[in-house]
Amino acid sequence: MENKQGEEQKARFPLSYALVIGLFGGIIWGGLAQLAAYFHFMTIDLNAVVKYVNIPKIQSGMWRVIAGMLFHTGVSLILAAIYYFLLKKSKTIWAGVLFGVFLWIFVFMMIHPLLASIPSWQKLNGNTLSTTLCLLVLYGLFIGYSISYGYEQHLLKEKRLSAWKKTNA
Amino acid sequence: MIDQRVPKDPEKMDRIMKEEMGLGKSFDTGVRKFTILGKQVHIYYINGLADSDAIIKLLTVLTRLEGKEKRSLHAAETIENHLAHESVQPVEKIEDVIVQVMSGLMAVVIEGSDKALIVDVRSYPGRQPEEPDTEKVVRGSRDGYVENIIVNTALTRRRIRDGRLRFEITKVGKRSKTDIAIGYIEGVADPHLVEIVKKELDSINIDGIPMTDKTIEEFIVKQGYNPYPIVRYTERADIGAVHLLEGHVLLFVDTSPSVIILPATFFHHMQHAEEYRQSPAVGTFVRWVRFIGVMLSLFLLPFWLLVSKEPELLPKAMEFIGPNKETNIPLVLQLFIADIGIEFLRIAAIHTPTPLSTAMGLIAAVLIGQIAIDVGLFVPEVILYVAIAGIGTFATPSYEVSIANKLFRMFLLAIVALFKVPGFMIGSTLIIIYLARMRALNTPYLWPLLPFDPKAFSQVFIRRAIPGSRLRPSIVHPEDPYRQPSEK
Repeated sequence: MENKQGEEQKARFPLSYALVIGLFGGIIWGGLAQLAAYFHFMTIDLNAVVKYVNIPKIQSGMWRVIAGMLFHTGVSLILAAIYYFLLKKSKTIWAGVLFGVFLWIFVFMMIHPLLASIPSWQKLNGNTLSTTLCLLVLYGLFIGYSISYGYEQHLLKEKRLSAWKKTNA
Repeated sequence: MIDQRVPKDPEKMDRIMKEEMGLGKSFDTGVRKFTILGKQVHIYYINGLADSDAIIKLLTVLTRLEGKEKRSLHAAETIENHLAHESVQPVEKIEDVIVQVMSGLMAVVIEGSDKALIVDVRSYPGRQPEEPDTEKVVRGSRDGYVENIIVNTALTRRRIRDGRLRFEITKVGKRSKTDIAIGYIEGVADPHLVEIVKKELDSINIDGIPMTDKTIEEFIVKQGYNPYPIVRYTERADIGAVHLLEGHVLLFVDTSPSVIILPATFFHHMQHAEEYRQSPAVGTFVRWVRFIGVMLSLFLLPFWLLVSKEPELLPKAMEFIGPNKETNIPLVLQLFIADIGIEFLRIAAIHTPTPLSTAMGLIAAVLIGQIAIDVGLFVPEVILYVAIAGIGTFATPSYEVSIANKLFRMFLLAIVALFKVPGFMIGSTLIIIYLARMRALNTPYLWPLLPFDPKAFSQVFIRRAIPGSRLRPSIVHPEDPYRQPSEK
């Protein structure tokens, strides 16, 4: 009887937390990526996805950038969900960093034949390689550390809140 | 010998005091010998730390006992009863007596009693609460902490009159025996943190701590060579009170007006008392501007160096950036020299007496800059960007953070000079990972940016109106998570 009550009181760590992290991660790091592209740190076309959408307004200029960012944010939501399901229990920052590295390997070494705008990693020049790698590592760190830490804090908070409620009931 | 109990014969105590306390040798140690109710009574004190008036008043009452009371066997109890002071403690060990007397309290040793009575007649010389230099506000209270620990705790208690505000005192340093008080609100602060602090303080094994708070900080947070501060200092009583209410732990060190606030993340160092004196909108604006200033102080110079060396990186709109003329000295060297030059100026300004420093500032700014350009040492753009970065450095609310940023800026400059774009990216990434890894006694240093906490970050980003802040910052793991008591 008591056990059931205890289980009901502890809330589950919501997926929405991870999605919010994904949202902000996409906006912040997508924005920084656009900035890096503006200063020609990367030679690849960041917003090439607009080619697949048949709206003439977003094919160039400011709208292209915004459309690109929207796409990246959407992808970020999915990535955050993936991290949430697989790795939220990890305790260190390196899980996020490795998540970012693996993401880079995935995009630039594995699926690049499918994406016309991304050449093979051997063909990337030093600037693009380092910029994309660093951005993805920091993005992974952001997503990973935030979700893992949020999970850790959530567990702690539930423990304290139930203890506080017991003493102040 | 001094860990024995107080001897029943005051003359023996006298001999011990001569040896251990320099009675007779040090001119400011003193003893007064009486006969009261047939018993020998010795009073030990330090001239200068003990308040003469208080002692004289006590002795007046004691000497009146002579005529009024009968000689009795219970002289010690009678004398203790007639010590007209609010703070009288019996003490058994000689070394405790010596510590107390050396701190300025008065010791009363009575013939036949193996306890000495310690009366707190301290009066430390010191200044009145004044507004601290580095934390000025346009409007607000101007009482800052002073060097006297009792005054500091009193100033804090005035703002938080809750009985649950605790100040636990301990002595640190074998020779200095400096008083250190740990201040926290019971039920709000994380008890685990208080335990850690107490344990760390107890384990400090050092001769003395004349440089007070800085030394304590280095012991507790195990700084090593990390230039970023993990604790925050304040000299303002209202800021101290605000942090106590948020759940932080404060450390008061005697003889230092700087109070240590634990724990402190990077964003705590970005705050300034000024913000709370302005409306939320203005406060938010000021916060953003300050944050931009700090970012500039770290990243502007390396970035400028990068685009100067590789003009192809610049988009069409910004092609005017970058030096036009040929430079005699490599740009990166110019930047280093200018940066170190500003350090020289700062150090010189500290060592110069105030009347001269204005004149010096003029000389430095106007003459040296212009002449350096004319001679060909600097390019004007270098001066401009170094000045902007310098202003960003001075706009950093925390002095320690600004110096740490300067160090990392120089590191980035060197890396960019060697490795250009990959250097900039990888260098910046390493810096961010380094900061993210840091923990200030269990809380991540870059919280709430990394790990990202949307609610908390919005509180940092936007100066929320006070009635709107319901929850204490979760990072301090408070026991009572609700700020306003009506929220349950």
